[in-house]
Amino acid sequence: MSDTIVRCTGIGKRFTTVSESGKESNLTILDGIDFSLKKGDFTAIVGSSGCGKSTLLNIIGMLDRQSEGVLEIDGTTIGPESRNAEELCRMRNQKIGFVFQSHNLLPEMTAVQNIMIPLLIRGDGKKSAQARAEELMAELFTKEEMDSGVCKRPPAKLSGGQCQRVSVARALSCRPALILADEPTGNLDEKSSARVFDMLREVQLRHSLSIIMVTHDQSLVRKVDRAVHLAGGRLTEV
Amino acid sequence: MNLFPRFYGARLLGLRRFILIVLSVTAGTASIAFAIIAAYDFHKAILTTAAGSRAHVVVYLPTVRVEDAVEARARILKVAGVAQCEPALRLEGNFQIEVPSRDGGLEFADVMSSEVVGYEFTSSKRKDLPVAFDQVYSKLNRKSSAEMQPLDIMCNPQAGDEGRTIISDTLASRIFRRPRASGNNFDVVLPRTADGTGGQATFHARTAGAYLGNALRASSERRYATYVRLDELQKALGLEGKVNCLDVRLIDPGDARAMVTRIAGLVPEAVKVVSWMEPEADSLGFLSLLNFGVLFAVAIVGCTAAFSLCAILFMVVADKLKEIAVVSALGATPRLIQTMFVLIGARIGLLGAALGVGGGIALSWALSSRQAELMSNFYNRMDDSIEIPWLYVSGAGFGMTLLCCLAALLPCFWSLRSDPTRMLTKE
Repeated sequence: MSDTIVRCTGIGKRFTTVSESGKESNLTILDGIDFSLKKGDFTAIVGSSGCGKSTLLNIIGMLDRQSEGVLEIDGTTIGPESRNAEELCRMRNQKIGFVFQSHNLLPEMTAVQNIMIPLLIRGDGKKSAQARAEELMAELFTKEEMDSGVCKRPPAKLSGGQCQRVSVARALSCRPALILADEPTGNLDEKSSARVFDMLREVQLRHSLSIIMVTHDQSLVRKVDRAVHLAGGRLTEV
Repeated sequence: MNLFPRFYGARLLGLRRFILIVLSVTAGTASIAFAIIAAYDFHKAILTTAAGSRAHVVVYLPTVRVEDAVEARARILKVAGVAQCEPALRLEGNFQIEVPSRDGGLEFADVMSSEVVGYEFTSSKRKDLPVAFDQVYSKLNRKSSAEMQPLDIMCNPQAGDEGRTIISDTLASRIFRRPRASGNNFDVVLPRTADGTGGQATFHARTAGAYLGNALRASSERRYATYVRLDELQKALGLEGKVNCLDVRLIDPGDARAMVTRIAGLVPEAVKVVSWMEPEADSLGFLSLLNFGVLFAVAIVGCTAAFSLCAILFMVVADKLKEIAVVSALGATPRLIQTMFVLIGARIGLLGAALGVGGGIALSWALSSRQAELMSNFYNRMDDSIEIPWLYVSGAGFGMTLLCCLAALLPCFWSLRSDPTRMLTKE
C-alpha cells in the first residue's frame, strides 16, 4: 500500500479573462504542479498573496477543479473531468477535513452541533454524532472551558481561538486521513495562533494525520516537517 | 435516512425568519381558504335562497286528473338525485306586494304584478294598505281561475312591531280567509327582535299536495309555515281532482339544469320541463361571473404568496451562500442540500397551510356569526352555519405546500450553481 496520501501530477489552473476592449486572455495560476505528501506529514505552503496557494489547496480538497493534470487522493485518481459531484462530496466528507482562515462555523448552531455536521452528512445517527463531537471537544478544550458550557455556545459567544479549535474539531470529526488548513491562524493574535498551531501539531501526531497548511507566518514554517514555496505557478522546496 | 437535511434545515433560517415566512404563508393560505369557503358557501346559500320553496324542476302537464300523473311521477322518482315528485297545481307568473317603511312606519304599499295580471297599486298612507289588498283581490277575482297568480307578500324588516301586527292582523286574517285569492305562495319575513330571540316569521301557502294542511306549523324557533292543501286549491280554482304539473324536488338544486335533460327524456316530447334556474338565468350568470372573479383573485393571491416566498427565500439563501458552501466543503452532496431545501419548504408549507386553512375557516365562522347583524336589513336571512368545501380547502392547503417546496427549490439551485471557493472566502 502506498505511503503517499496526496499526489499532484502536472496540475495546472487557468482562467480566461476578458479585457475592457473585449480581448480574451488566459491567466495561469498554477503551471504544472508536481507535489506529493506522505502519510503523517505536516507540510506548509507559503507564498505571496494571490500566488495560488488557496487555489492549489481547493484543488487538492476537490472544491475546485484543475484545468489539467491528475490529482490522486489516498489512491483515488481525480482528473479534470472525472467523477461526479456526489462522489467528490463523499470523498471530501470521508477523507478530508477542512480548517478555514475565518473558522466558517455555522452561526445558528452550537459548538457541538457544528462538529456534528460532517458526521450527520456521512449518515451517522444523532446520538453517536453528538458523542463523537463531545469527545473531540473534551480533547481540544480544557476542563474549565468544558465546565463553563463551551459546548452549548454558538460561535458568536466563543473567542476567535475557541472558534478555530471548534473548527479543528469539526475537521477531525470523520477521522479523515488528510487535513487542509487555509491560513488557520491568519485571524488570530500571536498567542492564540501559537496555541492553535500547537494543537494542530498535537492532533497530527496523535492521530497520524497528514496536514497541508497554507500560511504567511514564517515562524510556523520552521515548525512543520516540510515547507514548499509557490511562486509563478510553480512549487519549490524551502 | 440521512439526518443532515432535517438537522441543518431546521436551523438554517433561524427562528425569527422561520416564523416570519410561516406567517406570510399562513396569511396567503388563509385568504385563499376564506375566499374559497365564502364563494362556495355564498354560492350555495344564494342557490338555496333562489331555489327557495319552489320546485326545482317543474314538469308541465296538460291539466289532468291526479291518477293520470301517477305513471310519470313513478318514472321521475326513479331518477337519481330526485328527492320528491308531487302532482301540483301551478300558476305561472308572480305577484308581489311590498310593504316597506320609513321611520318605523308603513308609508306606502306597492303592488306589482307580472304582465299577466297587469296591476299596480301605490299608496303612501298606511290606512290604504287594506284597500290595496282589497283591490288586488278584487282584481284577481275577476280573472279566471287558470290565470290566478302566486302571491308573494313581503314586509320590510324595518317595519318592526308594526309589520308584525300587519302580518297577524291584516295579512293572516284577510288572506287566509280568502284561499281563492291567495295564490300559491306567501312569504312574510320579519326582523329579529332586539333581544335576538325569534322575530322571523314566514308564511308559505303552496299549491303542492305534498304539504300538510292549512294549519300554522312551526319548523324552527323563529320560522312558521302554513300551506294550502291541494284539494282546497283545486276546489278554489274549480279544478277538483286535477293537477297541471309535477313539482320535482332535487337533492341538490344546483343539478336542476342537468336533471331537466334527464327528466325530459322520460316524458313525452310535448311536455314542457322547466328548471328553476331558467327564470334566474341572469342572476345565476352574474353569480358565475362573481365566482370566476373570486377564483381569479384566489389565483392571484396564490401567485403573490408564492412569489413572496420565493423572494424571501432568495434573500435568505443569498445571506446563507457562504454557509451552504461550508457544508458543501464538509461533504454535503447537492442531493442532500436539495433535500434540505425541500424539507424547509415542506415544513414552512405544511405549517403555514395548516394554520392558514384553520385561519380561513375561523374567519369564515367569525363572518358567519356576524351574519345576522350584517344582514339585518335583508328580507331573507341565510342560515348562520357555514358549509366548508373540504376538498377545495384541503386542495388549497396542499397546493400551497407544493408551492412552498417549489419556491424553496429555486434558491437551492441558485446556491448550488454558485462557486463554493469564492463563497468560502467571502467575509
